[in-house]
Amino acid sequence: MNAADLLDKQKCLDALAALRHAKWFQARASIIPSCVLLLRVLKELKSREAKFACISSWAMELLLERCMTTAVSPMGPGDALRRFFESLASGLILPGGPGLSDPCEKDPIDSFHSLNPQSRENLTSYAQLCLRMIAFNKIHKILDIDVIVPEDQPLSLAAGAPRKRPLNSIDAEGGAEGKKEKTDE
Amino acid sequence: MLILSLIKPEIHSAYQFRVSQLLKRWQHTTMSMRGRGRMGMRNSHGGGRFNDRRQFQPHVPFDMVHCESAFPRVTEEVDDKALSEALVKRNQDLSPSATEQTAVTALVNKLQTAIDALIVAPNTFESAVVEEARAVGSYKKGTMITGHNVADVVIILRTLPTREAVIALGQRVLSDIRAATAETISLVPNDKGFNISNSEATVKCLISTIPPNLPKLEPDLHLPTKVMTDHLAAIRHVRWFDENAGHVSIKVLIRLLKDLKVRYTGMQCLSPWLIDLLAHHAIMSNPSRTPLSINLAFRRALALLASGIFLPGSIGILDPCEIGNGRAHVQMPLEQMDLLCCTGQTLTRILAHGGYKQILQLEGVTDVVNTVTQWGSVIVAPSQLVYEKATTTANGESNLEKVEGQQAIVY
Repeated sequence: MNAADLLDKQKCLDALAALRHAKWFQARASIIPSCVLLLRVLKELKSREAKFACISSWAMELLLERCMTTAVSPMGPGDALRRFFESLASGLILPGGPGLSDPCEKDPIDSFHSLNPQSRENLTSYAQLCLRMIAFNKIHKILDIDVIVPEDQPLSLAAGAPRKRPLNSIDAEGGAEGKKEKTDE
Repeated sequence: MLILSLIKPEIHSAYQFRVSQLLKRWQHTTMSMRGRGRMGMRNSHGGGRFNDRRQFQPHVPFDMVHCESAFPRVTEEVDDKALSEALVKRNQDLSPSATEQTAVTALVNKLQTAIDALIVAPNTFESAVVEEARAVGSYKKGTMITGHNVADVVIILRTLPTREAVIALGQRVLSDIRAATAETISLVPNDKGFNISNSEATVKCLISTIPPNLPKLEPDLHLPTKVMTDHLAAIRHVRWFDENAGHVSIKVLIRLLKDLKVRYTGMQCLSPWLIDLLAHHAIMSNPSRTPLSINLAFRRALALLASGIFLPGSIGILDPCEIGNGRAHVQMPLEQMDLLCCTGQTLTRILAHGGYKQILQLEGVTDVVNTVTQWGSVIVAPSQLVYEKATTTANGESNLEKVEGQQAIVY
């Protein structure tokens, strides 16, 4: 047969890979609570943020699934998103990092193989920024939404001030005295 | 003692078990000790509203070493020989010389002899009764750095630590040491005790008192309670270190981290105890419970900082020497947490691009953490801080309570 009449080989392989990815997704990712939700959020972020745009959808799905399944205890969407950024922030995809193995390929291959070193660096740097944004209660800046203050929560809690006093404040003079006074009354 | 023995089994058990156990204990503590008011009421009033607002559960940050099986290596193995050699060399440069070690040991021994004399014959000294003296800190742990020849010794008094008693004790010790040696010895009292120095070394004598005395302390008469409890904690830390962190790699990593702390402002908030815990965690906390090699541990320590082990909300490292196993990093002000994480993140990226010589300052003098640098074809920009203090306070104080209070106003 004439080679010119054939479809592009790489495109055919990609289509087959897409089939495998969909199958994997059905079996592994879609069953994790809030995984699909987070992927939708991340996809939107990818379309909006230039630094985050270089991550492929497949790598994103795979990494999120790995992050959620390796957690010590089941996580809510907030913690899972934080963990997702933590994994990138720790240098997973930087040179020297282990990379992310692709379960849908026969040979061991890095799911981030298409990224050049500078994109890897940019992606890591952006994930590191997002991680700290989440930790300091600025997730609305990543998601590009308004701050959400739950109605039934005091403002101080919504603002993310730690919900408890630091441990030592119990022993601190002020706290101890305060308590004493109360009991005296 | 009891506390230590209670905690010890957990230090040796598997990581996941440990985390889950500690989480349980954490919740328990939260409910029993600090869950008064809203939280306590919610629990006692049954499950109806319980699902609405979940209890605070510290976040367990991502740690590659603990999920290695889910992330098999698919990229080329990096040759870390050069990094290992550089780390070993840097450690050698940082280790104190034999002369320094002899000098400081000799001075500590002299002090110990003088204190022992006081313990054996308490009636020869009237201002205070000494219970015991213990070497603590980097001297005892073997993690000293060259050029800083200072040993710490905690002296526990059985009597109340009045300022006069402390100065009298200092003078008595000074005269005893002077009587026994021809060297010039000097005494400098300070608010934690006193320093005894000769030309080559210094011994910081940190005063504390026996725990039953702690409630009796009065701020204007005695040394502050906080200082007393800190000094008692220092003894617990040394004991824990002796039992759990004797491995030589831990000591090397501590020295390397201390060196980073000196050179990078972002890491200055790491207390010596946090550095001990981080180094121990980086080397020992892995699924096989075998010590990691120094190159991997160094990379891991930076990666842990980068993935926010000491950020707000993170479980961080649970303090093995405190009741209730609080998170060791919560005392850090929020902006320092941000700065620390930021520095760790920039260093992680630079290290990945092969900039270990610059990080360890074996080569080049540019401040890699605060400037845009180029490594081969890759341009590395420093991480940007995200934490903003809401408003400046009238008196500009930046203690933890204040900062949190302000943050609460804004968001």
